[in-house]
Amino acid sequence: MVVESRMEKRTEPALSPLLLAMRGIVKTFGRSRAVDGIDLDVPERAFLTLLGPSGCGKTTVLRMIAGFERPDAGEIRLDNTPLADVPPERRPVNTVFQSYALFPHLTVHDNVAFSLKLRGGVSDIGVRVRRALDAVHMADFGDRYPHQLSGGQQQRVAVARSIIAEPRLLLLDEPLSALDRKMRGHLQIELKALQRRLGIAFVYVTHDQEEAFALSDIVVVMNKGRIAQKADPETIYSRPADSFVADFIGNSTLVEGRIQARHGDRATIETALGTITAPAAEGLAVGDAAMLVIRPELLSMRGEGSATFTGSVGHSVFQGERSMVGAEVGGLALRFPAEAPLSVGTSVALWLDADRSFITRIAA
Amino acid sequence: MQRFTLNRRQMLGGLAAGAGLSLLGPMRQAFAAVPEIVWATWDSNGHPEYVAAFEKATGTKVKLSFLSSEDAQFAALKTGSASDWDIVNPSLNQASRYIKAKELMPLDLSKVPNLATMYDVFKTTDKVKGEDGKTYAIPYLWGLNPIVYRSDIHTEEPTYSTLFDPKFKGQLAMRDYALESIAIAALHLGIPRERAFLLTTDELAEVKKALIAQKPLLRTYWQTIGDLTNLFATGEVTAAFSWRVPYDALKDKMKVAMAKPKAGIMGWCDCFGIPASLPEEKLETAYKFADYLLGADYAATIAEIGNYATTSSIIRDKLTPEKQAAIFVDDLSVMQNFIWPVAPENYSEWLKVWNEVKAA
Amino acid sequence: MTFRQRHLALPVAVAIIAGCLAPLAVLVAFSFYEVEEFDLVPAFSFRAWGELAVSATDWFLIGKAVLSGLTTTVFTVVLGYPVALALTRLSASAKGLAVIVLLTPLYTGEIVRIYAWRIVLGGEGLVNTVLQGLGLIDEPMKVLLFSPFTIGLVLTYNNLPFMVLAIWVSAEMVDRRLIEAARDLGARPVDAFFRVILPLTVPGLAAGSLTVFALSAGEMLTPSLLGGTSGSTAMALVDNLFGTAFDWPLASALALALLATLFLVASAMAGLMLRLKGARAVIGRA
Ligand SMILES: Nc1ncnc2c1ncn2[C@@H]1O[C@H](COP(=O)(O)OP(=O)(O)OP(=O)(O)O)[C@@H](O)[C@H]1O
Ligand SMILES: [Mg+2]
Repeated sequence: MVVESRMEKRTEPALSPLLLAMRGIVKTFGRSRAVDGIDLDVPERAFLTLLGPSGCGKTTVLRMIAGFERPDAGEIRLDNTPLADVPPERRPVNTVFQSYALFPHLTVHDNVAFSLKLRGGVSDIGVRVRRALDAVHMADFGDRYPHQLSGGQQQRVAVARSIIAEPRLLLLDEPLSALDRKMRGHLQIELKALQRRLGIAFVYVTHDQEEAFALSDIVVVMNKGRIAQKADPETIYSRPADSFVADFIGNSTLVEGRIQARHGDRATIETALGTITAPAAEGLAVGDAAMLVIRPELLSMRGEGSATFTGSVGHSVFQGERSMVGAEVGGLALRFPAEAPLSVGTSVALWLDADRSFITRIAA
Repeated sequence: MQRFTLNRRQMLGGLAAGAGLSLLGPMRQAFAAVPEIVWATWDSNGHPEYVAAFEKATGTKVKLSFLSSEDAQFAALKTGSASDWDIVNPSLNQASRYIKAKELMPLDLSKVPNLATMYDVFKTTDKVKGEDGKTYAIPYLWGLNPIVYRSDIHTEEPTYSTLFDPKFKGQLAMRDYALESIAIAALHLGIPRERAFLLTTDELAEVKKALIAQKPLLRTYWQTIGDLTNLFATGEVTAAFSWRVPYDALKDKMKVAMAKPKAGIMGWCDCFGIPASLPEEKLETAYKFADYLLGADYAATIAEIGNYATTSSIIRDKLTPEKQAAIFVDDLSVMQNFIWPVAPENYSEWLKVWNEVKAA
Repeated sequence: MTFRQRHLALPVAVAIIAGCLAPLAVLVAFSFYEVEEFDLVPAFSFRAWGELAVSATDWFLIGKAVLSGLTTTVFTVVLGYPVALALTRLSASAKGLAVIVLLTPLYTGEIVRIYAWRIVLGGEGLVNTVLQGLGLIDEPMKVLLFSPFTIGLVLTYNNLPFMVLAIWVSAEMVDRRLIEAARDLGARPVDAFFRVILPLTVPGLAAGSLTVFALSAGEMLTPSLLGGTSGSTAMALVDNLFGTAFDWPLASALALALLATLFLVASAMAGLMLRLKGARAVIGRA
């Protein structure tokens, strides 16, 4: 908890006023705790991503913000106004649902116009629908019904429908998960551009870490209903708050050990593979059990002085411009990139860029 | 009238004649007693115990086939879907309909000795005679349709005019049946009972007015006698043109009585009839059954159990005065007060009037 | 193979056509026949149709059948929607129980139900006794039984299960997320109902409405046994003409006129419901 608040200070964009504040939110379904006491701040115009494995509570958080679920404990404020008694239709928040939830009986045009028509007295509905559809490159599809659209097109209509009323906050629940890789990449770029253009804050849910890093100002990694880490993508990547985050992000090899010495930002950890000095998470003290995070790109087959590790190739996977190799070192498999495939059994010497690796705490 | 319907029995008969004559022909003589006859009748006329004596005496089983309505009986005969019926049950009032339609066979009255004991009013009726003067049906069971009323509420014995009296608004009921309801209105308007079923168009118009004026006074039109019994039992109705059934059912539970209006008592009478297509070998047994219906055994059991009188005087004098009163044979002047609801020539006009009244 | 399959479907098609059209054809033929001495005589007479054309009673009763069908439909729709939507929110086991309870009226025979209503609504019945006991009324409310009110109430009660079931099946197929999406986009619950639930449940609404309309417009027992002096129906008249009056031509003509009128009204209802915003898209795709 203490660590998190320090992190916040470091990573939040300066001077951004706060749009949404969640404090101490708990939500239980029957006997299972979907959300177990989280604090979350969303600044104006931020692109915040909730990242985490399936079932960790991401959708539940969104549903509480949108007003479909009521927290068992805690408070949600928007523009400093408590939302507890505000029904979904009166929250300046719109949602792009995981399944799009387009109205099957309405044309694309009528789907997008839905919120404006409800409001009544809006005279320029046609113009605004057109503008919203333009924004997602769907202007030519106004007369179609949802079942006549591809998945990507439906997704874009869902976005157009939820931005037309100019919400303060847009919630997107894994909007791209059903799409193929290429389409996803394409739409990621469009979404990001749209968010910049509209200046609306996005809370975006995904369990795809690459997507999270590509889009977000702030990434919130969730684990079992709690927030494991909240920071900018670069920090999450290079300084994972604990072994869960480190494991969830990237192909890192985690090596368990014990802190032997601490000097400022750095610490020395004794592991089965040897003793290594590297940057360390705050609060780790001598004698603590800790985890050395070795990301693949920090291992190299060339280096100065003596090699950090030696072992033999256990497997080698060709990935196009390079190969991903797993080396058996002291009973652990260290993954690293190689320019060419290596044959199994070949002995290898590896140099670790220890200054860029990280020693983190072990997740509870 | 065979131009349209060829009934099923005729068809089966034809087939049998073609296919099995040589086989069945000689066998016919072998069966002296018919093993079974089928009697189509009302369930109140044909309890198994009513026919037990006949079965014992003749060795022929009487299979009972209960009717749901007179119309259904007529339709079944007409369309030939009743090919297993050996004896049918036309009402006296509608007998002419069956006779005209040639559904009944002319009867040899000499084969029914008990006819001698029949009350005159039934013996002399020409409703069972065809235009050819022959007799086609034999009346065997009769009764009255009285006004049943709550004697605790109606201190004076009701007349038909009671059924039109605003004093009893919301407590009265009429039967949903054109023939009787229109005749009752006519009697209420003072039309003499000889002409109650022979109304002129002008009189029908008067009657219609009276019946429409009566509507707000009525709680409902009753459909079945069970329906009416329920209406009395639940206190919805205190006086209604009725059958005797509600009286019998309720007399121990509430103060009910039967009124026999002086203006004329609606009587009902069921007849014995033989379908025109009955095979000859069953004829003997059918006549024996007719004689049984006019005999002492049937009269005694149905008076005892069902509170009905047969058309025969055969046991009347042996009954207790209470029993005589219960089946309306204590005072035989009733025989002169009868009116028989009989469909008039302009019956379709009557039905139209009645439907207009109900839809008014 | 295709030949054989077509071959197999043939008897079914023939049965359907025979089952639907044959009786109609018979009615049409009968309506031109004549009756002589209780005998139906083939002829080409317009007597029955002529009589029907000028009979105010007959047309009044046909109109009454339409009205009865429509009001019952409207009542069951208005009551049926909340019940059906509530059903969709129950747990699976509770749903089973709720459906059994819902269908209770159908397990008892119609006659039993009719007499039960008399016990409930009669002058000395349950409702009046309770109201009098509470001192709310001095005299029993006679209008509860044997009145148009009774017919409306009982027809609604009898037909409600059909409406609820039809709407419910349809409503179960409406994705809950669509309702949330509507709320999210600013729809109050009532807006969500009219703009999303209603159009998406049009198939059920249509099925329920047409069923209830047909059942209640053709109902004859309930009006005649509970409607008092206002209980006359076209159906009972047809019955009367076929039976008591033995006027099969007129009965056939009236039956056909009734059938045609009900068919026209039902078609109009179906057309109207299809015009509900977007309903055509839902049905067209289903
Ligand atoms: N309505 C509900 N009733 C019962 N349990 C629920 C309900 N909604 C969510 N849960 C449970 O709460 C937990 C969190 O669910 P949630 O949908 O928020 O997960 P998620 O992070 O969105 O997962 P995914 O990535 O698979 O969408 C899960 O264990 C889920 O089973
Ligand atoms: Mg989810």
